[in-house]
Amino acid sequence: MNRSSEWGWWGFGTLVVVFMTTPLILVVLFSFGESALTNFPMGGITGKWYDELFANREFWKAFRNSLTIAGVVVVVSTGIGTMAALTLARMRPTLSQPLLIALCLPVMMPPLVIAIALLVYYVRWVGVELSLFTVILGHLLVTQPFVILIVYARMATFNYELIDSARDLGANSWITFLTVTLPIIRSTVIGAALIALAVSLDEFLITFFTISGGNTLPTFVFGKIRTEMDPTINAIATILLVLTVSSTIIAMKVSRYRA
Amino acid sequence: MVNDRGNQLNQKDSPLVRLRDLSKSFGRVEAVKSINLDIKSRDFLAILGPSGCGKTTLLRLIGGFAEPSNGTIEIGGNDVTRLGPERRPTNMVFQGYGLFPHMTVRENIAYGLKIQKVSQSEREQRVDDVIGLVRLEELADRGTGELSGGQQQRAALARAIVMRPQVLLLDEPLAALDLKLRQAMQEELRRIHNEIGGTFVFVTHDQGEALALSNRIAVMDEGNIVQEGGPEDIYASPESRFVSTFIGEANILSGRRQNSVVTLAAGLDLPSSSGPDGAVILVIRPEAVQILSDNSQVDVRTEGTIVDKVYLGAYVRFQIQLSSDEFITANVPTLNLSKEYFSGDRIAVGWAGKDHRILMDS
Repeated sequence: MNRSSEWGWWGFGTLVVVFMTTPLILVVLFSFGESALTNFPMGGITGKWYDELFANREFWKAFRNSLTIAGVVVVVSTGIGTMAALTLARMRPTLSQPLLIALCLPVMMPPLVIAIALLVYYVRWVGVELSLFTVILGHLLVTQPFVILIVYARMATFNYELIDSARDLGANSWITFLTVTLPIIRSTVIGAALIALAVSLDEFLITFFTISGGNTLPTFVFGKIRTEMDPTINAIATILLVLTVSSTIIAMKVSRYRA
Repeated sequence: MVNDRGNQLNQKDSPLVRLRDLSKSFGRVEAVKSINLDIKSRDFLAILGPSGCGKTTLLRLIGGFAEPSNGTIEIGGNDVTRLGPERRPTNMVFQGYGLFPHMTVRENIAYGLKIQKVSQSEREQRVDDVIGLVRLEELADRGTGELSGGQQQRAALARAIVMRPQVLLLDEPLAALDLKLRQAMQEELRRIHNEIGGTFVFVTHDQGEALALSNRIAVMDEGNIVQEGGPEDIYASPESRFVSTFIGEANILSGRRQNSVVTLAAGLDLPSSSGPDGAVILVIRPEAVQILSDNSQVDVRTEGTIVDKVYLGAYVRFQIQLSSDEFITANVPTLNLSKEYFSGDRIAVGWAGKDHRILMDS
């Protein structure tokens, strides 16, 4: 490759990165700006939008809902997803591949379709009242595949002789899981849990359709955009950004460790 | 050897392990075909065979890692056929060692005792004892990833024998080691077997290893045990073409038997051979074949042409073409060679009648 075309590729790459990250940077920037218009000039640096946000009881409710949902989702999807992945990994490929595709179908479908389907299912078919519980079920649907895929991929390089060794030394399958399998794949499982956390925290569509009353952080932001477009939205967005980005970074770090 | 997990064998003569009509199929593939085998207490048994002969499957059946399709396994008088590995008085040294990477050597060795809830003082004592036995004192508190292949091998061995199994199973224990280490570990295994006096069963495809280590060998081919006995018996009296060529080197000459006379294609008549008429083979080891000077007296004598000659220090290896166009290899001790021979020389070769075996050609 000659020099000028190399420069061309670099330039193009830089443009793409700038185009994709500028909105994020602006959101963070404006969340600290004096101006109420989300526009330049943004005036001086201030923390007042955060103060305003933290004084808002609706925000705290939404925040608490988000954490409750994410907490349950992380624990349940990590637990069930890990078990599913371990089982799938020991199956014959002719059996495990179709099952894997079926289990991962939810992430291949448009979230809007899932959201509408869930709403109809809950209300028309099951007749269950919409609540945080229904939101949690919806989130499990889309976080589970991530956990399954991540843990399943790890098991491809797992040394099953270790499990045979543990059984040989007198451990039943549960003790083998706790003392051998889990400690060895621990970092992968933590990584998968953090990804589930990130997905759940900023999930909007399914939450919006199945929560009925109440808010999570994303639906709270959406509500504010429709009524009062003020920089507290930027403050919430920044908080969400920090939460999801940091959990994803930790997830990547932790799962790279011992990969 | 005292055992905590099963009954101690009372009668000395009855076998410790008894396999009856044991078979295992994977789909349509029969890996192990109706095997009957007795293993006596204190045996060092080699299950020897080429890759794919079912020997590892047989070992895994004994250890409880595979469920037999048919037949029974008894250990120490108890039927263990349906028991999982955690409930059998056996322990296995895996081919890849199977050491837990998140534990130190000492933790690896103590793992089984912890699960058995052996008291801490006894546990420490027993772990220290086996660490001494396999000479890993210096490395006991290292992670297993810091160990060399031979050290990992010894750690895996220690982890199995600390459980005091009635039967210790070893799956190709030395296959992953280089030649020098392999020889050192052979000695180590023999020493440990002598010191703790247990019953060892190991699987190998290396006939040299089987001869060097074991006091009994079961030769497997295509899922069957084709011959079983002491190393000397198997080497000196192979019962089939497969066994004769798989264990040690052998020259095979074809012939026919009719009315108790064997006529070889190479133009030799060997009288007084009992057995049914039909196609036979004559098996003779290269070291039994002599190059004859004119006056020497041997039972079997024929002529041939040297086609190749390799000097190997202690002996010289000749390839000799017989009149039947069959080739015969002779390993002649260098000290026994009275004159020098060259490729192309016509020579007389022969051997003592007791050294060859005549087998039905199957």
